Amino acid sequence: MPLTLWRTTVNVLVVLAHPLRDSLCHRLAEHVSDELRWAGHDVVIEDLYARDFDPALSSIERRRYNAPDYRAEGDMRRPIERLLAAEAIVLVFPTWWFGLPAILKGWIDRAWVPDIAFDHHQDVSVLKPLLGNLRHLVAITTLASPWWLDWFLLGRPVAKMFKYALLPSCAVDCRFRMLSLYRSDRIGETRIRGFTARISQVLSGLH
Amino acid sequence: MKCLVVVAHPLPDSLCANLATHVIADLQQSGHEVMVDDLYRESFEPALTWGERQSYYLPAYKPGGDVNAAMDRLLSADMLVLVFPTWWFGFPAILKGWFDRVWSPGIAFDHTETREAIAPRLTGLKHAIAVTTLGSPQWVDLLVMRRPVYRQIKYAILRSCAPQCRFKMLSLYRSEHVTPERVTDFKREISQALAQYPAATTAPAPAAAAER
Repeated sequence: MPLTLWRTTVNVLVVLAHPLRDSLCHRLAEHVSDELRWAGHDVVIEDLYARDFDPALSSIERRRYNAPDYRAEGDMRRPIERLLAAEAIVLVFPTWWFGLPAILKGWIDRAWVPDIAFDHHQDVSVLKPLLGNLRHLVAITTLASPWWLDWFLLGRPVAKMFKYALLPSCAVDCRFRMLSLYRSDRIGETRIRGFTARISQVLSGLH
Repeated sequence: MKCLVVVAHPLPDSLCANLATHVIADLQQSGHEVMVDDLYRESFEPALTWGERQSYYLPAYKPGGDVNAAMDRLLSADMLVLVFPTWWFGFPAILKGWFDRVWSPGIAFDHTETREAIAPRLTGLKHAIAVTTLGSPQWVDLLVMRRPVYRQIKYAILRSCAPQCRFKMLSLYRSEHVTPERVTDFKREISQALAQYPAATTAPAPAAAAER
């Protein structure tokens, strides 16, 4: 375990996307925030379901997407402030149909927007990253599928989206880690503990 | 055939809306019965609810009342056409939500006792076509990303819920730099894909044939 004294404090945004409070995802998110706080980091929790987050990019937002002055809707002000302040983001979510839950996809669609996460006004085909603060992105997910299906048949679509699409466009110096708990609907306490230990290990590297 | 067209773009004057209009007109002209789910116009709620998730693995799944009609449309469809923009190499949240909430237990699939796999339920769905616009060039989708949306629809969703369904994906790349000529070509490509499906599954409908 790391010693708090020797570490720098990191502003960490934990984004949680599961509707049930007694879910494995909530348990993992609690573990994440306990670990981070113990290590002395500043932790902000964005519980999308608890906030009743509206996932659909609105017509105004879409209309302004390619305009010189992108303007988010009022409900996005706080989520966007939090994204801008984050030096590390930890996402905790279930993988559904090998994709993000709609509410989390909506958080990306609506918060990772022009003038906030990237600039595309010079040339729409080359995005200029704007999230210069962001140094770490850790995606923690539970999925019912076995690992080989995700790796060989699907080609890890969720990991690829973060690693090759989102981060190169918005935060080039950001380190990405993906922790996937496979077959999560039929595992025992031992495997969950093994997984939380892996989470702790990865989080101890945040600086 | 009974065709369900699902549209997922917030702007009525968008390229996607334009393509959806083309799809619907084409299908109707060929004598298909067309149902449309315009998710933004219906103010579709994308987030799987507490009650839905809570009952997901129970014998009686309890969907929210707002998705009943969408479920009926999905169940009655022989053919599915999705028209959507690809955002960050994924579905727009509203369309992901349509899959999360409408392709549910007891509708699109059944849980099996061992939970090793799920059992398909959409045995009537014969064809699916995805029409999408994306800003990315084709090589990034093919070589770097390895077609994540295509794989998700084909291998994750259809393979589990409608394994008999034939799937085709039509992607308009670099859609932010699109010329009217490219849109026309893409519409022609869509029409060609749709023309492969006869209006009636067993015998051709005489009325529709006569109209043409």
